[in-house]
Amino acid sequence: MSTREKTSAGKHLTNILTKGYMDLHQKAAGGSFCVWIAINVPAEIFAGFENVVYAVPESHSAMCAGKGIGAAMCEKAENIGYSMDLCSYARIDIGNATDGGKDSPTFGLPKPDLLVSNNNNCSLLTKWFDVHHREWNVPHFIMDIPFCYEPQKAKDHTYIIQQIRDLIGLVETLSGQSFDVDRYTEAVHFSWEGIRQWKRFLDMARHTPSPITAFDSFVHMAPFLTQRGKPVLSQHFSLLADEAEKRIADSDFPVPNETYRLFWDNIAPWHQLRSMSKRLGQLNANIVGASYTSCMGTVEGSFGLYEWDEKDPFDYVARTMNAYMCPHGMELRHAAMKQVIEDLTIDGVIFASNRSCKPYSITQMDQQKQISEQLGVPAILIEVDHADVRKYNEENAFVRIEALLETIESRRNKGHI
Amino acid sequence: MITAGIDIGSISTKAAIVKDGILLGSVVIPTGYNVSKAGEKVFQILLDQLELNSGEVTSVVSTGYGRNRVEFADKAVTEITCHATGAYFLNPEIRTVIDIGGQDSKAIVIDENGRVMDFIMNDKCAAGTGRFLEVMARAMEIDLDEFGQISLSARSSARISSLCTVFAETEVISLISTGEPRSSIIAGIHESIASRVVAMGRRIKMEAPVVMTGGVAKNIGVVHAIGKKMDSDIAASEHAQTNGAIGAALLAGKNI
Repeated sequence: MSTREKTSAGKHLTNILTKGYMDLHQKAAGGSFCVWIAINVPAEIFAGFENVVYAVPESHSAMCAGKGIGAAMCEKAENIGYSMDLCSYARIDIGNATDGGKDSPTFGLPKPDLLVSNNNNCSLLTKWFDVHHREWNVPHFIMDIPFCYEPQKAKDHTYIIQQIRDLIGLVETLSGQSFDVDRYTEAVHFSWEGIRQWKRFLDMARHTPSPITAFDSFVHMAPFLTQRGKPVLSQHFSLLADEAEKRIADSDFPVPNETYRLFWDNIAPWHQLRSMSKRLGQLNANIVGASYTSCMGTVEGSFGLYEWDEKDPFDYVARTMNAYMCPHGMELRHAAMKQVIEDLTIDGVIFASNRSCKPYSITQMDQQKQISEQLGVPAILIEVDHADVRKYNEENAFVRIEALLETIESRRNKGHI
Repeated sequence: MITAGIDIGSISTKAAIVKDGILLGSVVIPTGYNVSKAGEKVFQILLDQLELNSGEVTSVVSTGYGRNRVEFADKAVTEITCHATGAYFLNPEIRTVIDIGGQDSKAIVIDENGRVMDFIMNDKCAAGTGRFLEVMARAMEIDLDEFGQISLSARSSARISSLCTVFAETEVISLISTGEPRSSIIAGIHESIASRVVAMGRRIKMEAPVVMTGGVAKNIGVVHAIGKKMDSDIAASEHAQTNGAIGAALLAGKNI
């Protein structure tokens, strides 16, 4: 994956993220009611209020790690007694809060009036938000989203909708503002438009060679977390998909001699995006997709887009609140993985065992076995940490990745590499 | 056609030269601080021993952790593929290779054509590796080369429960202070390595016959402990330490 000049979509991304964080700070400073949310809290509901803004600590932590300051931010939390074994997103965020975000690329996040977490991605998240709840005496609303061993049950769906309504009521009480269901419906529509363009972009990886890499999707997923419910979402992903389409037309591929098509399972290794993509490109290998970025807008057991009939936004939002991988049982994860391996003609899978995210990593050994035995697709397990570079060893990771490529080659050529 | 393999590991650097499928020779030196220099040095020593000059060597493949630091190599290949190739060359019946080197241990399953079908490696922890043994030898003030023979005389094995090299060293020191026989402690150390490596290897489908390669295979105590744990006869390769370099030299020939 060669180093490329920033594309129009790349520049657009920088602009919308910069503008997004500036707006957030300005509005919060100007008296907007500010909510901090976990990534799969349905942010569209805040658009239903006149003057409510939201911030996403996980996305901010990922950005810090991507900018190379993740470990330093983690140390700030460790210096006040938090264990190195805690999630590095949490440590970055707590570390950032110790000095008002003075080293953050976005000057941190404006202090919240309300914290909203959920327990379906991980239970640590609720404890992490509780730290701020205690420190700042800010209310903390926890959404209880049931884990899925099978497609979401009707009673769970009803339970989630009730919690969304409860949250709206709480924001009304705390902010003194009224909820407008039409504005909320419009915001869900904007997110739906955006996610369709996102899927269009991801589907470009079906082409061989692929015009995109998973690293593109890692970098460009940020607006889906911080700009939900806004028209800019669809504009951005449309631009991104158009660019990928043009690359196919121009035969301009990120890995021109793409020989190995790989799939990545786990959160992005934010501190390694540039070096890992470069080194893979030198090996003619392309990670063309990732479960982490494929699951948005989907439901359990498939990376296919969950279709919305544009009728009931509560129904749609509750149904897709379990989109991410962590709240899914192993059979559901395997079903989604199996399909994407076929759809993207994947040669090998990299299971990134993440020291900071055990809910994502816990099934990987069994998944690796199933994929190797049932599909005959070689797979490896490497050790990573999504935001703490101190827990990653590049050479250890690459000896496994290169051995995976050699195994693929050896199977193709009957023993010759 | 003469080809060479250079295997730069964390502790030792190895070279092997083959001619038309016949092993001409191999050599082992300590890696030391300068990885690139170790590669050049080991190659030159072997060339001198075999009375060859570098121009006579058609192709070179490098492997091991220093594989990308061997400037004169035509290609870098991982030690997984090289150990499989080397073991298959020395005995085509072999289906599983257990390789324990200085800082990693791995199990490799190969098919009837010598192809790697599956492999597994330890994670970043150094337990169950040559470095683990080195630390224990230092703690016991015994030459590592004596470990294997001493352990065979043990009447029982001390239990080393910690998987962490540093904590295991503390355990060993504690056992020494309580008067545990040294043969028993060393046997316990070997069992600790065997437990870890066999448990890891069982995550893939290891098939017999099994051969052990890597520097640790020179330790008969570890080979026995692994065989006992697997309830199977394990052979140690006669070229245990240079097996990866031999595989690299053979692969250098295949790529022409």
